Amino acid sequence: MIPPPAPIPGPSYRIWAGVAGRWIVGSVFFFSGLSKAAAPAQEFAAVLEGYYLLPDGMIPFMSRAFPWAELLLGAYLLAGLCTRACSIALGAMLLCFEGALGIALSKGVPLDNCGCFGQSLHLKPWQAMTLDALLLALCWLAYRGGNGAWSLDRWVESAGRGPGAGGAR
Amino acid sequence: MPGSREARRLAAGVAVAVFCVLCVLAARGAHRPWIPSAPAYRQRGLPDAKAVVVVFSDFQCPACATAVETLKRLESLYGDGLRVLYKHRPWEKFHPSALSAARAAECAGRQGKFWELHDHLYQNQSEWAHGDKADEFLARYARSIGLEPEAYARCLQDPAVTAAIRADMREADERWINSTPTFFINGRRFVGGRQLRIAGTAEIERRLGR
Repeated sequence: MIPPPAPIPGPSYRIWAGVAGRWIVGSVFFFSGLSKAAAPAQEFAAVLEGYYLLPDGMIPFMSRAFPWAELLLGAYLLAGLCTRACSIALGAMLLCFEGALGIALSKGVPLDNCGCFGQSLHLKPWQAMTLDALLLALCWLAYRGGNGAWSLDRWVESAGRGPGAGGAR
Repeated sequence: MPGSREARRLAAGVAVAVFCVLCVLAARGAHRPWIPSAPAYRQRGLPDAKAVVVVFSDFQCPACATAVETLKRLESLYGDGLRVLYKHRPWEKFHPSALSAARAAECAGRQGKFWELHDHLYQNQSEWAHGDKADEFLARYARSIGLEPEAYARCLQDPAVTAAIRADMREADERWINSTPTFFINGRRFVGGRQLRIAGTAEIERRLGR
């Protein structure tokens, strides 16, 4: 009987690209979520109103929940906890942002500022779309190799292996 | 240290979430009690009105010009029940003539004509706010509402005028005002004309017991 092949570790560049992707995407979302979650919810509500995409009834809830979702997912990704799930969730968010900006631009909605970072940073819609595309690519890298080095996932997975089995570096 | 993977995952998840909450609390800072005030010439309505609307606005901002109409409709609708206080929040970075306009309005206020110039500036915003002739237009508006020219010219040079505007801007920053117009109705915040029109009207009616 032929034994199953031993798992081949991925090339180290994939792991380090994953860690870099995780840290960059995580930091951007953490910073963006923090700047909006700390500000009064009405500020972000006014930004959402400016897109004319959401029904009025949803705006108060979204203006409170969305910044916290960004903040928590960003922090989890930064720490490398549930890395793959967070990469997928943030990737989906980025696709939604691209869609929202694209629809708003195609409708001719005047957006001087995308509202992505609260008051901290003002980006024009085309700048935000470029940034989102870049972050989407980094999300893919984080999904592929972000749960390797320096991640809480590694520490979680090492439970029960005993000493020397490898923990968070 | 937790042994199982689930326990470790839960502990790490809670720790990260708690860290996020602490970051938000630190970023918000301590809320100091706020009693809004403005010089008498920047106030409209009775002192004992039940609904007090504080407006942080920028004379060069298009959204502010639109919201002025909404505010006027509310004032005509609720009459003596409403008092309005105007606070300056010119965005110099985006609106290069906003500070000059605020200075002109302050000087009009010293001659008891703040609201006349206020209305004039918003009604004619498309005329003066674009291009580099804002100061000429402001001088023309000042003449048209009958300001005494010498006192007006002296006032524009007075550092106390700019200081008063800067004090409002500092107050706006402390209140986390990220965009104009921002309204506070008895302390509750409404950002933009749309929030004022929908939720703000409901808040005023609640304050007036209607």
